Amino acid sequence: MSKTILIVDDSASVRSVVGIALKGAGYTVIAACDGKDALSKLTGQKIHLIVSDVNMPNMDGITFVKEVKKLPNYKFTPVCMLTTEAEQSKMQEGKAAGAKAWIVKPFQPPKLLDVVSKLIA
Amino acid sequence: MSDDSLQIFAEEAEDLLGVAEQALLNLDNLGNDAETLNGINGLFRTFHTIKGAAGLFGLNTIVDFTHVVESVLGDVRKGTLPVDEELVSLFLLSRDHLESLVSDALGGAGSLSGELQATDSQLIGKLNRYLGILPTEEEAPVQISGDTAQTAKENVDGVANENWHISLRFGPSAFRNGMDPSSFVGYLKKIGELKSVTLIDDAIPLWSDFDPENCYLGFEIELIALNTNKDELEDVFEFVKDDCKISILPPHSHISEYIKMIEALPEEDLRIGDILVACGALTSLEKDNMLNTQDGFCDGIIAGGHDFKVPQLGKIAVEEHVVEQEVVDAAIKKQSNLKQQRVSAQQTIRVNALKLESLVNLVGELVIGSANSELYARRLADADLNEAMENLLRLVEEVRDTALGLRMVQIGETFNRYKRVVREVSRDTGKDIELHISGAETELDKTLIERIGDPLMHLVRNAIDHGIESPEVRAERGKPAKGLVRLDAFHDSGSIVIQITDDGGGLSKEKIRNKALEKGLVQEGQNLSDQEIYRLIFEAGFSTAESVSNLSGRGVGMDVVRQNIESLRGQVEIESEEGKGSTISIRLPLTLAIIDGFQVRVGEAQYILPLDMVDECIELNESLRGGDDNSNYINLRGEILPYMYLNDVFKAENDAETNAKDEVDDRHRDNIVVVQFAGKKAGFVVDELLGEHQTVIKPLGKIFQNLKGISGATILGSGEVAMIVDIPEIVKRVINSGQKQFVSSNAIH
Amino acid sequence: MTINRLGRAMALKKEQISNKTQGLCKLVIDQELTIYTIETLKQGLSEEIDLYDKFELNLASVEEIDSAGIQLLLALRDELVSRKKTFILTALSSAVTELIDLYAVSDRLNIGDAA
Repeated sequence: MSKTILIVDDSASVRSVVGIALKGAGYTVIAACDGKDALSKLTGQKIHLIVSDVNMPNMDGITFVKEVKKLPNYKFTPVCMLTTEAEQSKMQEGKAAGAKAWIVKPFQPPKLLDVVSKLIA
Repeated sequence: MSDDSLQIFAEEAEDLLGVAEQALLNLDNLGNDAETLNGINGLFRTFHTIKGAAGLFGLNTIVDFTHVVESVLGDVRKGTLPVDEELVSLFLLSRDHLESLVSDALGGAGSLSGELQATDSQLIGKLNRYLGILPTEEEAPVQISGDTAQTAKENVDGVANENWHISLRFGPSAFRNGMDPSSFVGYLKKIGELKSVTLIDDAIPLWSDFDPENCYLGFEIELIALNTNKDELEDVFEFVKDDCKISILPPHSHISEYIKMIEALPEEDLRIGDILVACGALTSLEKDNMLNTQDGFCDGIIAGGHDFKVPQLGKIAVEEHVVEQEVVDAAIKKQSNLKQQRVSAQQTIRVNALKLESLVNLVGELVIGSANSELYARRLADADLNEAMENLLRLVEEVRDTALGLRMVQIGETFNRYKRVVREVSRDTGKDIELHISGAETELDKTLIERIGDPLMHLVRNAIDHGIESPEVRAERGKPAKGLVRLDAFHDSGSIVIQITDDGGGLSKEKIRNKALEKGLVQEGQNLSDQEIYRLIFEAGFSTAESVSNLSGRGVGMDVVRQNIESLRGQVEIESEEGKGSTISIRLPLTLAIIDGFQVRVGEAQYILPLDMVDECIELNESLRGGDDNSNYINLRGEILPYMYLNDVFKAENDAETNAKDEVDDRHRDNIVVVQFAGKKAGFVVDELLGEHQTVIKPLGKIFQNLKGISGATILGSGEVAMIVDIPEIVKRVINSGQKQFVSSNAIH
Repeated sequence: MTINRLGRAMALKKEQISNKTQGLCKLVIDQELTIYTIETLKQGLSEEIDLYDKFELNLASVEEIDSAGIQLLLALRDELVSRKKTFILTALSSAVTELIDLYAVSDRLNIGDAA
């Protein structure tokens, strides 16, 4: 059975590229456009990995991670943040919130897949 | 893989290779070991990054080549290979080759050209020699005999294990942080083959104390992988570094490495020893030897809690007297400084050159458009509107400056290129030459930088080749053995000046004069100023070089240099002292696009004078005229200022006799605009001063290219065309004609 | 005993064939044997460990298993062995087999046939 990845990013093109790459690699993808949207989509289904942008409207990535960590069904799910180079200071904040992996934008799909395969068996 | 991504890879590689080149050139100069080690580490990371990126694109040639370079750098890092000039030169060549490989990959060709392939093999061969790997013709036997290079040393002291050994001890929070050992262990399968995986569950407490959400697991892994390195393996665990103690031992590691690892592990030494034998990391013999040689090895420390004590690597190194504490501190400080630099350097973004071009064009139109609006606004004489227009114009000016500023690039980048040239030419010619650079932060327009590169290169080569003497000659002349070439850049009254100075033999006026006579460029007995003599070297075909070297002396250089510079509306000047050295100064306008101009009217025509060269404006009345009616100079507060009627400047030669002064009647108040350029001043008489004007330079059509005195045109707010005056040119004109005045009373050019 | 949580069935079920007199307890773990379920599973197992001497664990329907799950099995085995009780894994799903093979722990977990 394939593993499910949740991608959270306010950019439609990012969601699209990531979605295609991940689906191509055999994963099931759920997409959300910001933290709030993502939380509403977490309805109890099994999620194996969350990939989230940092800067998003309505609810940013760091807050989203903190909220996810409060959910009993998702608090142990690995989270990977997508940061821009300028935001690398956010990385510390993200790690403290519980996001232990990160990819620096811009990234190419192979890099994403590489990181994903380090985080999901 | 899309072309766009490949493009990004090529750009990233280009940047990294640029950094690598500077780092390599710096290695020559570094004295102390901590700095050299840092430089090497940086280089290692750079090549490692390129290798990784190339790998993602399947560019195997690049991966393989970079891997070898990385390996040699690895040995240097370890301290088993010293850095010398020879090796640095080899690295530089390898870096160059990598650059070619990247362009080649960008070009999309399937396989390497014969030439690239040959260079590739040749360089790999040379690099391999440093690794102790002999070229394949000499098929080294599998059994290492005592005298074959460096691998022998490792084998004598290293363990028999030809596989990588990875030891992992996960921390209690690993699971809660979403980290699962299985994904990392599984990932290793992409790098090599898992010969064995041993799960260490010693740390699992009794059921009543067992918190199932904690992670108590460890692993001892044997990995068969021929084509990897420690960095790549460490990268596998990059996200779990904080939640796991990791030990990676390369094949044939020294037994001391294993001892270090074992002592750091929480389980009993004997127990781990057994595990290592069981998984194939150590042979029984090796284990026994280890137990015998270590004091307190068999203390039998029982593993129990979650208390993993792994001393910091820096500490271990210092304790083993491998590295002095101060050196470690210095290295750490340097790392954080570099990090700071990297952070600030990262505050740049790549911009498509065409987009920048169109932005600047648009800004130009914006300037003209707002000037137009201003004209209409002024006519309406509405106070509020005028104020609003003023604000608008001010903003437009700021936008203009910022947009133009985007095109400004520091000249330091260009200057740095020459370090390499100097190094190589010094080697080739047997001279010892040092290059000093100052003013690297001086900025100029990017198109200027691109076009000034080659002329500058030629001049630098000249300085090295012909300027600086050989060490013997220098000794004879009582000069220090090391020759000095200086590159300088600075701003001066609206221009940027680039100077190339050398402390070599200087120009010989006699030689130049004689050569010029030979070529018929001057007549016997002709009186020439020093400047005029020096300027002769810019004539085509001129070269007083005794021998034609690879680089210069063919006489095709200097005239092209001058042409290039003049096409940029720049000037070249030479100062020299025989026996002491020469300085070549290149003066260039700061920008080619938009300038602050000063508008004037002469008759029906409008002209623009670049504002930064305008000194002042004064009324021309009789009291100022010095001397008689016919002389064209005035007394400006004690200074002699030559002047001309602006109209006359542009008159054809034949008309020179008809002096504009004669048409004076309707000009009651003449104004003189005093301009200055390169320390020379001149005055121009105009009818009306019209004030400051933001001038968007529109280049003239090709047929006007040779028009002297006009450097471009602009469109005024009213739609009229105004000519932009080429001040350096006309200042020359005025001064010359003034001199001629003194020489003869006929003002014929 | 079936423990449900938020609509996802996660069960430690005791089969009816369990026989108190024989001291045999047949357990089935359903669906998920991961960090999300282990806390509850441990609790459930703790209750059973005291009551029986022989344990059979059927993992055929385990769709998701992670390292925390393997760790739980190892801890369970250790506990049972130390209390001189027996423990067999009677059926494994492919997910379980895969992880056991990756970690090469099949010799530590008694994989055998049902009594």
